[in-house]
Amino acid sequence: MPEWLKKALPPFLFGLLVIVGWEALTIVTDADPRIYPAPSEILAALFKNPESLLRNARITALEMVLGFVVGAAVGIGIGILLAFSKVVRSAVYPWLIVSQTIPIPAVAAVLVIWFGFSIVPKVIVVVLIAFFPIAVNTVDGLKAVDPEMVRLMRTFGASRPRIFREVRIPVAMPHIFTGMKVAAAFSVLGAVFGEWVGAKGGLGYLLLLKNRAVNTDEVFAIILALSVLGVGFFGLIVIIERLTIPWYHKARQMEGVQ
Amino acid sequence: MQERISVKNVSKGFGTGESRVAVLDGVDVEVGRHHFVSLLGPSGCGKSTLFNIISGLMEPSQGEALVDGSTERLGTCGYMQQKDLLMPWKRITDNVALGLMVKGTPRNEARERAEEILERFGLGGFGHRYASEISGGMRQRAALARTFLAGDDVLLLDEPFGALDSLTRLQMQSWLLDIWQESAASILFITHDVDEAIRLSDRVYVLSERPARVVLTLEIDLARPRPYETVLSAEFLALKEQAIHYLHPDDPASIQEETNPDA
Repeated sequence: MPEWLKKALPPFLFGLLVIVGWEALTIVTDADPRIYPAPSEILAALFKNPESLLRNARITALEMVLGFVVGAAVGIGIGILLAFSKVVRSAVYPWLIVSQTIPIPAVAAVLVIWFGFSIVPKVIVVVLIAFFPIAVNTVDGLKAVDPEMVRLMRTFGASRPRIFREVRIPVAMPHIFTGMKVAAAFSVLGAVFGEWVGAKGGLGYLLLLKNRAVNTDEVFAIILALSVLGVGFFGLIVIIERLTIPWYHKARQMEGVQ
Repeated sequence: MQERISVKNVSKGFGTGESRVAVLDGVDVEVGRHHFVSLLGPSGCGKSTLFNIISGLMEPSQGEALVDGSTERLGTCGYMQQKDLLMPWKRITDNVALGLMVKGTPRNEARERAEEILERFGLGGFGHRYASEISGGMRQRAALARTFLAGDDVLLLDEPFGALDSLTRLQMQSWLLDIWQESAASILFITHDVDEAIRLSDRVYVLSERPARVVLTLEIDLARPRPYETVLSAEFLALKEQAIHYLHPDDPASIQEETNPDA
């Protein structure tokens, strides 16, 4: 059996077990399919109106990606400032923590007043959710450098910008990717929150509509689609990570061997 | 003939007032052209501080440190520590070429010279690998290759074999002697292993506990090459006895420890 299959088999079997159990439960209890849809009915709902699902999924995906890209830029920028300026760190860091205690949906409501039903409030909500884990991990990464490696560069006569570029950034990269993976998974959440307070399209918007109409099977189908979006985005970041810092993956593999 | 490394009456302390800690106390060290010189002393006695001063990372509180007669020392010495400090995100060739590249050698030329020295160090064909993909002994050799390329043939080696098992360590000593004899390098070597210091060196400075002073200068006239068995000769043992006597002037019990390289 190849290695990837050995890894993929247990979660696949477990998932299958849950689905089969769920299906059996709806049959045994003779549940009302409008309230408690069986997996087979959810699957059918997925193909009831695939054009609508795809169109709305594209809207949500765009909000996620735009918000993530801006959030990553902001997060890395803040991380660099925090890591290198004591003044900025002491002035900004406490507020950064405070910002994370604010319930995002509350902010989203205000954003709709300011920016209307456009894509802007959704993107901003995703930015607000995505930047924090990236900023925190960037700070950690930039501080994780071995001081002896910095000294080695200094004995070569290297300048501070050069040391930053050749040592600190590479050391920080795996940390930054960790933050980006968390942010990617959470960006679905941000997009859905943003759509809930006011939108004319997107999977979150569609989910509200179907929920009001008590089309529970379609609600679950949309949840499934959202989860596919989230997992897909996460997977994309993992692939980018492998391509950007192949050495990190190799080093981790070697640790596993030894 | 001008000494390559010249440390004159160097003292160094850290902190101020009551909490001031003196680390070096009037140390004199000289390393001539193509000489192999060792600093032998107890752990934590300030040897590494002396290296930080010679390499230009620190300035002495008193006295002066010169490399080739100049106090502008940053970038003149290849400095190697116990940890190989190979960067896991660079392939071995780029790690070895790093010092040259920082000093402005064009990338391709630096890589070519790295490939050459890797070949000479028995690492030909490993240049494209990452540090995590080669063994500990190979990593240490790669780090030494980087040190050779980075310095103008002035090498500061701070317990480079300290983390290796004793068998690998003996092999690395023989190998280092071969490499050094074929090169133009002047080496200053830190160790707290008496056998290692005497076997490798033309001269050994024995340092006291902190604050470090030179308590004994041993000129080693043993014939080269020096195979493993050198350490069993009567001349060698006489030198070793002197070194140990000065390392532990009051404490006969610790002599036992010192003869065991793993202690």
